Amino acid sequence: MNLNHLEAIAVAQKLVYSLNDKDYDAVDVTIIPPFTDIRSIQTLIDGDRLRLTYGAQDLSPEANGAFTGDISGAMLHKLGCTFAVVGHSERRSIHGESDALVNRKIKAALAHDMIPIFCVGEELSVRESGAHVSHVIRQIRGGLEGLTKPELKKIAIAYEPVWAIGTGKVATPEDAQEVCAAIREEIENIGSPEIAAAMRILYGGSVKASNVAEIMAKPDVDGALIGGASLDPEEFAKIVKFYAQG
Amino acid sequence: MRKPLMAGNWKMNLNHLEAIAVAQKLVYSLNDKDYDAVDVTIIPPFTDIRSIQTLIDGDRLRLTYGAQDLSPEANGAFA
Repeated sequence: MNLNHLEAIAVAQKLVYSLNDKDYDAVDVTIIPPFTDIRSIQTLIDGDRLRLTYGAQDLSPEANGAFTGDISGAMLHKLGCTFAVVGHSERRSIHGESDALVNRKIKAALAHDMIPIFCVGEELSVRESGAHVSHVIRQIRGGLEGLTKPELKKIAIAYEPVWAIGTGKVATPEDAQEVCAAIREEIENIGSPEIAAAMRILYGGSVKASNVAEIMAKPDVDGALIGGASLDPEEFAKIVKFYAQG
Repeated sequence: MRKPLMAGNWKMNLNHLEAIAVAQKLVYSLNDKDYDAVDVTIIPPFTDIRSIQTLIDGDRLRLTYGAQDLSPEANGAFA
């Protein structure tokens, strides 16, 4: 919940000034602005034919109707959203979203041709008890229940340990790898080895230009869901260019 | 004397293009006398607000608009 629609345009413009075709060939770059900014971002991106994509931070599990304040998949699809973040820890904790609701939202995103970025992750107490892998696997099973194999192929997953979001406390690359590898193994079980091998699993939680390369070096980490650092277009561009570091 | 306020809560209906069409049809049916007698506002989904703003500002319409909800927080990590 940052940047009004005018600030959003300014940040997106600064970001694209710092990126070139080589970057877009190497890395898919997307921004996930608040609902109120999406039309402005769409206008900017379409007007200048930018290679940047964009998505939404949430969507309703319902098609339409008496759901004051909620935003449907159809509305987001009409605005050209490529992605929809589903089950972010702030939605789970502040808005009480359950795995069952997250599952319905993933299906709603797929029904409207958007790629769900399905978020999972454990709180500090779970991490300290050592149950983080089983906790995340339970979220994965709940969120993906009933999905067909073709649907599973269209999903991206983001592992965000809640204790590392916006706290400056970053999980070690080994922490990220442990859970991302466990997620991929579970996708093998519920999908297939081929689906698991192709699935993009992102890490999120205090990712910065200074730590992205070592996190991305891990075999099961395929990207990052970036919070605060994505509000600074120069920092975000440096994160995108991680592949050229060292 | 309290001026009547007629507020149209669109709930989770109408994408941004449909919203423009409905708002345009509404304003075609209203005149200055109506706006003098009644405050008229529409409450579209968040995703439609910028399109409605552009329509209303561009044509200097007397229609106002609002939002269906808002956060109690100022800004920050509230996805």
